[in-house]
Amino acid sequence: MKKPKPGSPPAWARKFFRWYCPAVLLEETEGDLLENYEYDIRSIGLRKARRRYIWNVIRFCNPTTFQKARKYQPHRSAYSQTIFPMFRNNLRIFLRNARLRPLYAILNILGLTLGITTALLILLYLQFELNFDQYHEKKDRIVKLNTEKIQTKSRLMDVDWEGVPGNLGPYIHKDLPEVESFFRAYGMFENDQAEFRWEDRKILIDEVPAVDHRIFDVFTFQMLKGDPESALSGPGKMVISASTARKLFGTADPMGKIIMTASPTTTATDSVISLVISGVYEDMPRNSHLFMNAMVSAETDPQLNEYYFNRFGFQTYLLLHPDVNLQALEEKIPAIYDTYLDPEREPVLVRAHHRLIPIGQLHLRSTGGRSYLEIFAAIGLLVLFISAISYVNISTARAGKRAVEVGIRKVLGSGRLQLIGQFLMESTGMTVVALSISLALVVYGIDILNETLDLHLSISQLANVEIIMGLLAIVALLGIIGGSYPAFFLSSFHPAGTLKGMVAHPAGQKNIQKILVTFQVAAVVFVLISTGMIYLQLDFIRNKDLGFDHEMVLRLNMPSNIPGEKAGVFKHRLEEIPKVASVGSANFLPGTNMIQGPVSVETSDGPVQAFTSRGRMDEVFLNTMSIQITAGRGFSPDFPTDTTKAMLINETLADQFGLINPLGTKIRLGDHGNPHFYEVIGVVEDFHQGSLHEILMPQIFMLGNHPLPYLLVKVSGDPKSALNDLEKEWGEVFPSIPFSYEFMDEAIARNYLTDQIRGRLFLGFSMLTFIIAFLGLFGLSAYLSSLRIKEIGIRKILGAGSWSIIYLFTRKFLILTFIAAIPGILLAWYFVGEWLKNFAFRVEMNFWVVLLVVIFTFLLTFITTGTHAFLTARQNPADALRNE
Amino acid sequence: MKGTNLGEFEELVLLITGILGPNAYGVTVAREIAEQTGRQVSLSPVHTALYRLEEKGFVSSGLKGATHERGGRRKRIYLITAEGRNALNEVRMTRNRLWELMSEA
Repeated sequence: MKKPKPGSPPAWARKFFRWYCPAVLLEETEGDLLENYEYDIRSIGLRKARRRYIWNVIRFCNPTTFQKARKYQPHRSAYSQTIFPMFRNNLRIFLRNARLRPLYAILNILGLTLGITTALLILLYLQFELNFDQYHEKKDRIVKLNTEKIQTKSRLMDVDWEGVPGNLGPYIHKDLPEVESFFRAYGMFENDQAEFRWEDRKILIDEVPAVDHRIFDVFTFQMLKGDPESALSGPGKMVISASTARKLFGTADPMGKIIMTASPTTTATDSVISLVISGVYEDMPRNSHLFMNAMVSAETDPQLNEYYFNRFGFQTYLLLHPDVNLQALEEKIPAIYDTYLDPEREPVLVRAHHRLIPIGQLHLRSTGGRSYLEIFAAIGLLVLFISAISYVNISTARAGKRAVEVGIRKVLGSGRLQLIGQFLMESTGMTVVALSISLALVVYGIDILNETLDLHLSISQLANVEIIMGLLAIVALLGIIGGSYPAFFLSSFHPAGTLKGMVAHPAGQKNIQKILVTFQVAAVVFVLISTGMIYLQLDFIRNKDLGFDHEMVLRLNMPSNIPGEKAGVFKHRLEEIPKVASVGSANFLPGTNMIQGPVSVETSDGPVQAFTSRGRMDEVFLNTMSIQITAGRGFSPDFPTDTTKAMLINETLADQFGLINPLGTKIRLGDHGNPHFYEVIGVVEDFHQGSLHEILMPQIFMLGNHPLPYLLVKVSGDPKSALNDLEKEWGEVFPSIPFSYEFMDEAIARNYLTDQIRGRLFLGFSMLTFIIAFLGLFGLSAYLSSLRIKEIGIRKILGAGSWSIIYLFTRKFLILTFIAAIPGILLAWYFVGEWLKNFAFRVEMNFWVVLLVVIFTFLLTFITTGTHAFLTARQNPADALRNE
Repeated sequence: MKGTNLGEFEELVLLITGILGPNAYGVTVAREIAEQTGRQVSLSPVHTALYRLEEKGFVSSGLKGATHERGGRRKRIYLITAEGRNALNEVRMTRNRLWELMSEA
């Protein structure tokens, strides 16, 4: 053995110890051994000390030691040894900063939260809208027929209708092998709603069409009860959704129960229909374009097999075999008309051209297309961006306060990268906090939101991969991108300089701030102008004269299948009610759509064919609705030929056909070959037959035979008492039919529901954008003023008045506002212009709105930035300068 | 009263730890035992006893204070806890009671 160095323990023993001793105990135990050894050398001599040492080393190798090691061993990896303390440290610093300057922390979090909440809601909305009908198993093979063009003997017309002829579906299924199955859905009940009674309970259901039994082959339903094979086969059957079942039957089993309805139908059914409940299905997902609360079997309609090519309006869906070429199939369809259409039965229509639209595209087509959603997505991004900008502005503005912290960290050895990482963590952390608050807000507030905006968003949407990815992207965007600039800037401070009190304000930072503020102001201007214009348009719609009375007018549905005399009698009884001013009837409701059909007009240049709206009314109708006659006369019982030969036209028709002296013009229904003609006896003032989205159509009116489906009742004075009287009369004449009515303005308002909602949505987002931008501006100006406290103090001493100080400080911002307003105005002009194009009747871009907004923005900027300057200017300059 | 018993050696170690206060660690406890009682104990049983005491909650430990003699290595200092004191007290009272009984006899 080598001679050991005096004073150090035996090498081999030491090595042995080091070998077996667990790392955690190594330090303390080896230390104890060593200390003991040293002491022993002095007290009992080297040799004994060495022996003792060896003995100790051996004795230490026992189970207890290892137990002890396990106890002291931290179950954490080296990695987390460094990260967790860093988190704690950062958190501490963050909280400390927040407590010292709560204003800024709150501004930041508020801005971020608002931004994220908005983006989140838009995300949910987009997801909802873009995923319509995706739940059908066979969705890749389902298409819907739409009518693109109509070919008559003389013209080919573009119509773009959603409905197709009633008999087309079955013929297509029969003749075209590419089609595996099909079904039709159409409204059998007036207004697509009906009241159903079971025992003593009744319920009004809307969205209850008649459908073919093959719907279950095509669409995917979760049948809770009933057999899809047979549920809708045969007449008199009905399947209902689970929630409808709950509403009508409570907890009772609906299967086999018989319910009745007396609501008016569009076909020749009995007044009262009985239906058997043959199935219950899980409620359809809300994002279905064809949302049905219940379905009635099509065979309940006695006229089902009589529908012919001239009766459009049937929604027809096809289930195709895999890999069918849509275009090729589309081209085969007109041949069906050639094969089956009998010109004797249908003289006007020759054939029609149809398109096949995949089910996934249906919703977007009918609600304004992807462009609308794109606008929303753009808004979402805009809001996020503005949030990020506010955050950047506030953080960089506050940079100076943290300069010292950064300096010290650098002195203690932090690298630049580490600091950047620290600040990024901070911003990401804040973003995550804001995210949590947003999520909480959304979860709690989603019901209120759905109410106000007539949406059907649900929290379960959150549990979706796309949404989660979207959220992560948001966090990344805000946290990292938003935080990167401050991170870079803050970590660039020179330690020596900061400790001495210097804060680096490179020119670059000032410029960036300017750019960001400009962007925010432009956004605010854009948003305010758009909101103003939208408000104007909505107001315009609300107040526009539609050409007929709709305020004190309500409609009743005349039961079908009652003799004309009874209807006439009923009408007279109603007229006797004191509060009733007038009662008219018609087969259409003004302000909602009218039937269209082809006519042939004999003009001075010969017969011209066109599609017009047509309606039938009685003599009183025009009076009831206060529609003026501008030439000739209205229908009158004094002229008995009116019933078969008289026709009224509207001004638009006269204009379109170039009729200078319209009275006496001959008009035929169908085409020129129709031997029967009407003569124009009067011209009616134009009224809007549909919503203000549409242009005015040419219209023809004829006298109709009682009973016409709609009774329009104009009441005067208090509508409530009039209603009571009406209900009483109804009850006496039609005791078995429930009394239901609707005021005309309610019916009309339904046309604009979507617009109202969108307007509200836009308003909401505008407010948010505004607030966020405002927060950013506020924070920024607060900081900038605080920077120049000393300067203000000195200026004051030198004699500057408060106002000149304020002017000095706000000048920069005001100029920026001016510059920023321009792109804002331009953008608003463009986007609002596009939206307004949806309306045939609209307001024009209003210069006053723009001016008002610009002035308002100026004022706002002035107040925001000026307030801080003002407050600081009011301070005693001595205080400001004292902090030297 | 906990169901943990204090062994004779453990009691000794605990007492010495209490006496030494902030300076109680493996080496010093072993030395003090030798001084006070004449028993020559090596480090390892002392360490074991201290560990067992800590498990029972009668002492708490922490790494502190490196010195030159230890080559800069820290020591694990043991401090007696309130429970530790209570346990010692229990033992003493029981002992005393038994002694009283014995002297009466």
